[in-house]
Amino acid sequence: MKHREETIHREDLEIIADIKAGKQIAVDELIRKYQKRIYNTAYGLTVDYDEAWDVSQEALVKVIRYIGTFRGDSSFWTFMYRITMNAFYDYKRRQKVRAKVGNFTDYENDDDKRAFEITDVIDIEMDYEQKELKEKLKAALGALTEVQRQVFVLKNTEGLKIREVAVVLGMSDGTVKSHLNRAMEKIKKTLGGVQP
Amino acid sequence: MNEKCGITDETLVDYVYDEIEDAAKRKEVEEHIKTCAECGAGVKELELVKKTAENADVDFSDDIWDVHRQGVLRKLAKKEKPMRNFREVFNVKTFALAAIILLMSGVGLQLYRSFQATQEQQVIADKADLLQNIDIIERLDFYEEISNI
Repeated sequence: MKHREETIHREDLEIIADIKAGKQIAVDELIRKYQKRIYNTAYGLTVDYDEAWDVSQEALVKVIRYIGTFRGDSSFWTFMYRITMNAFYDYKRRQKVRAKVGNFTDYENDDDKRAFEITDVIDIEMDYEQKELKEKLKAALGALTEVQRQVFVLKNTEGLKIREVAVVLGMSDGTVKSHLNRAMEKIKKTLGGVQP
Repeated sequence: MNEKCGITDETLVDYVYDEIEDAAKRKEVEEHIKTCAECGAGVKELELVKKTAENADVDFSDDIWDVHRQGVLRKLAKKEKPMRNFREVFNVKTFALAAIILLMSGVGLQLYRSFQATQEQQVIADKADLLQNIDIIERLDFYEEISNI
């Protein structure tokens, strides 16, 4: 079982100090270390491979730009998760604006067009049943409310305990449990037809 | 909630995620699941959800992650550039130049306005002169008419 501890590691503290000191190599190190985790968190929020790509990049940019504001009051992951969540909300806001006024607001992505489709480059080493389960899970995640999805992703993808999820999302343990139960109930129904 | 045995769905979720801290309570639920078919099936379904979600991480090959990282670095560079340009453009020299231009424009505008006012006064004075002259000519004509009578 996955459980990522909600503590700050010495290695992270060194990377943070180096970035604050302006060392470019530390920026690279931070991206390499957390890009997969942030991508998957963004995927849990967007349930879309392309959107997760953009949101995770934007989140990493913000983590690096605002690293000076990190004082260690919360864990480094909580800091990054909150930034990823804000990047997700910003992305959704921009999407709404774009839908109303056209594409000219999308200046940030103009020169960052990918030369590949993300679905073509995902590492897939699984059998048909696993693939079917993943597809059903994706559909079920899309049907959850945003809060339910956040709780579910932090609990399962991140493997956090209820009290840790509560700290990250700024909720009570009871509220987290309630959202988790509702999310589990919905997903259980969707996965119901597939045998493990 | 299972109406027959009184075990709630929440308890089953807690059991699956190992969130029941009381060891005795946990043991009790564990024993119950072995004998209650309904709760046992519920736990299996929840475990499937948990296992599927835990293994749902999206992964790419290293070169694709490199493309992702390069994109982040490009966006970082792009966001820093406008900030540098802003500082370059809006420095003390620029503000001083802008102030001089503003001052000169103000002075120019004032001069233009006073020139316009002088011209308008001149036109009014000319018109007044003309009216006075017309009045004199009319009076002369009147006296000429009287003298002819």
